[in-house]
Order: sequence, then C-alpha cells, then structure tokens
Amino acid sequence: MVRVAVLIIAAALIVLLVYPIGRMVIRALFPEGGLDAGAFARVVSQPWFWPVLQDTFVVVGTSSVLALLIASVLAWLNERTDAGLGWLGTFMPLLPLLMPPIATAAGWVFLASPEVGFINGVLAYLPGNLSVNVLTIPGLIFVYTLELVPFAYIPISGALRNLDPSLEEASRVSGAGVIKTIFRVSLPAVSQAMTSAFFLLIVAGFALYSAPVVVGTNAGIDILSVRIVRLMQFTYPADLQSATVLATILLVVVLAAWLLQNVVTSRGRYAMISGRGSQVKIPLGRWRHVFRTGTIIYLLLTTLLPLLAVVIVAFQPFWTPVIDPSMFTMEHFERVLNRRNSVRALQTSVMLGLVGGAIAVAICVLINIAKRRTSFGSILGPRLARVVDGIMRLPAAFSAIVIALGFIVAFSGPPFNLNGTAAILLLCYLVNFMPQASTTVGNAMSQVGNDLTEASYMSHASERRTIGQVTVPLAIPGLLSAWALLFVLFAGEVAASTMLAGAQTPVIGFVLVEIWENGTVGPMAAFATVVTLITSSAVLLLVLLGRQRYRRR
Amino acid sequence: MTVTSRAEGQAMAEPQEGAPHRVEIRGLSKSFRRRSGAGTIKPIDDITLSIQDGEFLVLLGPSGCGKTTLLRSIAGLERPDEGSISIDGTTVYDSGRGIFLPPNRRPISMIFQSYALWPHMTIFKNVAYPLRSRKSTRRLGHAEIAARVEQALAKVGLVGLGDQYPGQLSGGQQQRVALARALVSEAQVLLFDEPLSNVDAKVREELRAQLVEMQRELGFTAIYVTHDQAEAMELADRIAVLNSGRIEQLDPPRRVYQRPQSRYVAEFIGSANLVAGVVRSLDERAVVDTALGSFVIEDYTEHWTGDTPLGTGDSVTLMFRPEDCLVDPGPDSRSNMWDVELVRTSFTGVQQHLLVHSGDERLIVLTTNDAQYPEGAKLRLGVERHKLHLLPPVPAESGAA
Repeated sequence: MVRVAVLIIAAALIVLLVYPIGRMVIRALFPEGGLDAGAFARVVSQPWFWPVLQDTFVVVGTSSVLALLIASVLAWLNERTDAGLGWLGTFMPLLPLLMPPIATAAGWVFLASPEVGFINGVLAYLPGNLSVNVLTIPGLIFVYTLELVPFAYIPISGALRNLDPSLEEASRVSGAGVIKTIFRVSLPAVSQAMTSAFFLLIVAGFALYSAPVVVGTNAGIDILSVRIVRLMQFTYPADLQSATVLATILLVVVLAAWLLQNVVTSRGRYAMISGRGSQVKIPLGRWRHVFRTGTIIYLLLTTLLPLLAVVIVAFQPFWTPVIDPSMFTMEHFERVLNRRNSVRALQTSVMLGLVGGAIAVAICVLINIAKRRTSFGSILGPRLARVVDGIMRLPAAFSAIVIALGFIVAFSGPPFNLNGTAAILLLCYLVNFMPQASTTVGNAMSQVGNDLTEASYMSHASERRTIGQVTVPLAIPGLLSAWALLFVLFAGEVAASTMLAGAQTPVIGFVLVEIWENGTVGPMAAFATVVTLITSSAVLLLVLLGRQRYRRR
Repeated sequence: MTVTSRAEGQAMAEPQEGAPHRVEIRGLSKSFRRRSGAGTIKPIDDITLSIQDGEFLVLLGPSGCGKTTLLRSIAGLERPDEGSISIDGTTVYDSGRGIFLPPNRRPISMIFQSYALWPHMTIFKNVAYPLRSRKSTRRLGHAEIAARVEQALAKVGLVGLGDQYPGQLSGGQQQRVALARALVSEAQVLLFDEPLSNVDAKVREELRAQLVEMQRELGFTAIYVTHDQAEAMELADRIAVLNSGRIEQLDPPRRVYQRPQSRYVAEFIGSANLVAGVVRSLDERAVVDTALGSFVIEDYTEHWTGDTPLGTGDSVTLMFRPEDCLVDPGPDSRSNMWDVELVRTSFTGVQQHLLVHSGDERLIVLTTNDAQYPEGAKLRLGVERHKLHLLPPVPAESGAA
C-alpha cells in the first residue's frame, strides 16, 4: 500500500513538473501548432532583449564568483581553523532564513540608496565625499552575492568538515606554511565541491527574484526573472507569448548549469573522507581575532544591518537618513494591518506554510520509509528508489518562475481553472520546494541509527511497530525542524507567488511586491517587519527543535 | 529485482522431529559485491555449525572475518545467499525452499555493541517493549507486564531504575538494561554482538563474570561474537575461530589453545613460536629438522593437526607456546634443547618475557623464574617432547592476522 502511495506521489510530482513546463515550452516554440520561431524572433528583436540578457549574465556571473570566494573563505575559517565561531558558525547558513529575501533586499535599498540611504547619512558626517549607491550594477551584484553565499557555504563547509585533517597536518609537518597548505592541499581536496557549488550558484542566481525586483527595479536594471513576471503581471493584456519564450531561455540556462553540477558531483569523490572526525584546527595565531572579527562583521552586514534598516523605516513617519527615535510612529503598521489584503495575505501564507509544509514532510517521510532497505526487503527496489529520488530532486533544475509560468499555462485555463486559487499556490510550492523537503527529511530520518531499529526487530516488533514506535518518534525533532524550514520557505516565497496569487488569495510575497511597486516604502517596511517576526520565530523554533534532545552514546 | 517478496516469511516451516540442537546451520554462504572496484567478498563461506541447547558458543576472529555477518544472519538482519538455518527445530532460513523468517518472528533476542536502547523511552518501556510486541504476550495486563519487567531488571541488578532514561545511566548500566530487554521475552537463544567492547575494562570484567553466572542459571543458549580472545576463553563452552568466512577450528577453549588446528589459530589465540621444518623420520616419535636443530616429538600423531597422515620429507610448522619453554633445563632433561641469545627482557611481576634469537628465528619465552639475564646473554632453551605441535606449513602470503 505504501508502495502504491509512493508511486502515485512520484508520478503526480513528475506530472506536475513536466506537464506544465512541457506545455510552456511547446507554447513558446509552437505558438500556432506548427514549429514557429516567430515568437522567438519577436522577443529577440525587442529593444530590451539584449540588455536584459547582458545585465542578467553580468550580475549572476560576477556575483556567483564572488559568492563562491566568500563562501569558501568563511567555510574554511569556520571548519578548519581556530577562528571559527562554533555554535554561531553552524547557525550561519540559516541566518538568511531569518528574513524573507525580499525584506533583505529592501533593507539594502534603505541602507545604500543615494542621498537618503542610512549609510550615506552616516557618511555625510565624515570628511571626504564618500557615498555608496546600491542602485547600480555593482550594487545589485553586492546584494546578489550576499543572498547567494549560503548556497555555496553549505556544500563547501560540508566537504571541508569531511576533509581528513591529517592531510593538512602532513603538509604542515613537511614544512609548508598555512598559505601553501591551503592552495596545495585543502583547496584541491575540495575543488570538486567548489565546482559543484559554483554551478549551484548559477542555478540559484538565475532563479533569484527578490533582489532584482526590489533593487533592480529602482535602479532601472532589467533582469531576466523580473522581466518574465513583468510581462505577465504589469503588461495589459499579459504577454504570455513573450513570457514563455523568456522562461524557456531561463530554463535552458538553469537546466544546463544543473546538469553540469550533477556531472561534477557524480564524478567520484576524492579519497578524503576519513571515519574519524578529529577536530584538529589550524591555529592562525594573531590573525585569528582579525578573521573572527571579519566573520562577525560579515554576519552583521548580511542580517542585522538590513533588518535594522527595515525596522527603522517601518517606524519612521517617512524614510529619511536622519534617525530620530522620538519621531517613531506605529502608523505604517496600523495602515498595513488595517488593509484587508495584507491581513488575508498573512493568513493565507501562514496557512499554506503550515499545511503545505506538513504535507511535504509527510510525503518525504513516506518515501523515506519506502526506500529503507532491511532484511525484510524493501518496498521500493534499489533502482526504483533511485528514480524516485531523482524525481524528488528534479525541481531544483527549474526555477520557481519557470515552474509558476508553467502552472499558469497549464492550469489557469479550462478544465482546471485554478488561476488565483490557494490550490495552485499550494501545488506550485510543493513542487518547487520538494528538493529541500526531501533533503531535510532524509537527514532527520537518517539520524535514527540502524541499531535502534534492528533492536526493535530483535524485540519481536514488526516493521510497522518499529516505524511507529522507534523510527518516527526518534526522528520527530528533525521532522519538526524540517517542517519549520518549509514553513519559512513557503511563507517567504516571492517569485511564484507574484504570478500565481490573485486578489482573492493574496500571499505575503505577492503583497510585499505589490506595496513596493506602489512606491510606499513605509507600509512595505512595516509589513516586512511583521513577516520577519513570524519567519524568524519559526527559524528559532527550527534551531531549538533541531538540537538533539537525547543523549546518545 | 524491484521488490523482494514479503510473503516468503509466511511459509513457516514445520518443526523437525526431535531436533537435537538449538541452532543448526548448514552450508551457509553470503557474498557482497565490493562497493568500488571488481570482485566480491565472502563474509560467510559455506559454514555448517550446530549449537547445543544451553551452550555458550563464541564466534572469534579479527574484524572482517565474517563473525558479525554470521550472527546477523542467524538473527535475520541479513539474508544469506545459500544454506539453511533452523532455531528450536524451526527452519528460519532455507535458500532451497525459499524460506526467510523475518527477524521479529525468530525465537531469539539480541544484545548490541552500542546497547541500542531507545533514548525516547524509559528503562521500563525499553524492557517492556518486547512483551508488548510479541503476539503471545501482547495482551498481558499492566500488572503482569510490570511484574515481568521488574523481574528482568532484578536479574541484571537494576531494580528501581525503571523511570530513568537511558541517557541517565552509565555504559555498564545501559548494557545491563539491554540484557534485561533480551531476557524479558524468555527467548531461549541470545545473540551477543561484541556487547562489552564499549564499556570500560573494569566494568567489562564484572559484566563478563555476571554473564557467565546468569547463563548457567537461566540456561539460555548464547552465541557471542567477539574479537577478544581472553573474553572468548573465559566465556565459551566452545569457540569457533573464524577466518575469512570459514570456521578454522571449533573446540572448547582449552583444546583450541592446546591443540590449535592451524598457524592462524595458534597465532590468534595466545602467542606462539612458529618454526618451519621438514620431517626426517617417523616411528612413535617424529624427528623434525629445523633451523634451530632437530626436534623430537613424542606421540606425534596426537600433535599433528593436518588432515592427511604425515610422511617423511613433509614440510611442517613446528609450534610451541612461550610458557612451555624452559630456560637452562638440567642436562638430564629429555627436552629438545638448543642455544639462543637474549635480545630483551621485560618483567611483568608474575612472569618475565624473554625475546631471544637464534640465527634468523626470533622466539618469545615466558618464564616464572626471576633470574636476571644480561642482554646478549647466551641461554639454553628446552621444550619438552610432548609440548611441541606440528601444524601444516602455511604458504608465506597467508600468514595469520
């Protein structure tokens, strides 16, 4: 029965992924039934086409390289040297989750806009004619880089953690200095992880929507993902034809990067994993404090600073670089929370996050159980399990925008007529975040040691009883934390939300963009503050729950 | 293979008439494909083994010899490829008849190296778990279950800890809980997977003694995996020494020590002096020529462990234990004697170890006399004629672990 359920879910997932995207590509290539490059030609001949493509490639390319560098340095410091931050360091990849990405981007606009940005307000007091401007290509690259770093940090720090320290020690003992050791030993050993992380950055970079919609729009920089949404949302009538063409281009680029990433990952690992995780760290001496301070500054920069900016703007009667707490007012909060639209958006998003997250976790638990291999035999054979795994990870190869556009093409019209319903949002979120759900649930389940389930069999318990009494109860902290993660991802989603949500079912991302596009920064900041409060409590819960509650020997 | 049938286990075998053994293993084999690179490894290679009711059998060998895989196959946690296993007269696995009884339906309990207590359950719940899982005891009342759990905890000396969680107990206590959990369902066969290797030395000794006592008292059949030869010697009624998936020798501890069947066993259990030689003559006694000189072996048929009768001119390995060496025996001794030079001595209190050499041969000598010899001293060693063993010669590449 589990087997049937798993196969149905896998089939449903692939239908929900392939059918809409297939329809979309067909629509782009065969607008009138026959192969017709006319739509492509029309889009390519638009005056905005080449600048959009150029800006997108420049911004994504540059920020991917920068993010890779920063992530590598941070990961190395935190994993391999005594400059690591310990607990805070492991928390690092989660930090960006504290705030919805769109709020972070808005925070940077508040901080570094010309004239009115808070940083410029401070710089005005300093001698010299210093000023910063985020509303430029380098500024956009800066925001992109900050948002992309976690995508590379997670795999690279994982690889460094598994790197046998004796390799580095051997190099040090042989007379090589720290720098030489990094370039001769540490880096080559994790080069595969870094290459893979780079492609991952490309995938994530092209999919990024919140930074370009907030920063790019104000700066007049047109990015591919934003242009697609714009064609659908702010053109009347919606130019679906051009949107599908652009989405197809995006799809090809992202899919190519994703495939490359998979090729790199699957090409055998270096012989570097050693069972004993001895925690010998490279001593950095005096530099230790410098690097540690640098890491902390980086963390402050990425989270606290933009958050502070958003909160201040939310309380200011109007956005000004002069911060005067006596002027603070609740008026924006009142205005935003009195709008039916935004209250309903909060309700819908929280609901979708809770329900959708729970569904995603349940699906992944079921699949995980079906994949388990014991002497009883497994519900899914090894080959089928691999196929199901592949399907679960596949959505990572498409960006949310592409998936959402596919959903519009496939499900908004008859016979489904799902346009603007909560159902289409839920399905789209589920498909889009299935890879993350599958990974976190997989980790949670694998934390339950084999011995513990085997001891249950040896205590005459059936498989069903073992799953119900041992496996699932022990995985529950991890599962709850997976649920919290999915809640945050669902609730903070912007790209797909902007396209799929309607006036009847507004969601957080949709409303944030809507208010921002209207140019009312105060209410937007207030709403972003409320949302941040909700998501960061969920993240906090995630961290607390994720901690192992039981002492294991 | 996409799905492995779960129905196989349903085909419960009928009990065999008058089963003489608790556990009966016939022609068991299992092989794994190596994860990377070519070739397969055979952790179980055609093993046939019968275990008596109430017997304490130890599976002994270095890591990778297949002892754990064999134990897990008996438990049902692994599926062998070939052969059959029956427990209490019930066939639990038979490749020929397609029988595989899943682990939870085999009349056995198991104790794990990691204790494998469930951290989210109290000690009481851990121990009650088998009772609540098993068909025959599932419907027992609260009071009955509580009584049985108390009884099991009393057996291992842990009365009154029922409300604690495993994380609050010491390693030794946790392993006792695991033992109580194994005993509570009154399975007649208990499997032990290196249960004492995670507790510290002192507790280990204590638990070992307790285990022997308990087994004598309760009379369960034990199959015990370990790589620790001292532990094996202390616990076992019989030891099965395993070497790359095969049983190299199956005998009581005393016999395994005194009459090792092969160089591998001789070296794995205790320490052994091994000298290559050639048989010169055979009558009642054998005369063997070695680099140390000629050795005379009394009643050689008793001391020859090879499968085929020994012939003149055969190559053999001469083995004698370090403690059977006599240092400077009197001239009237009937021992084999030869000259050696002392390399090093180490004094352990009860005995002293002497490392000596003669030509290229290095030998270990254990002696209880406390005479002090200077390094480089010339000594005369002797070994009595009935303390020498003749083992088959071993090809150079497959020396013991």
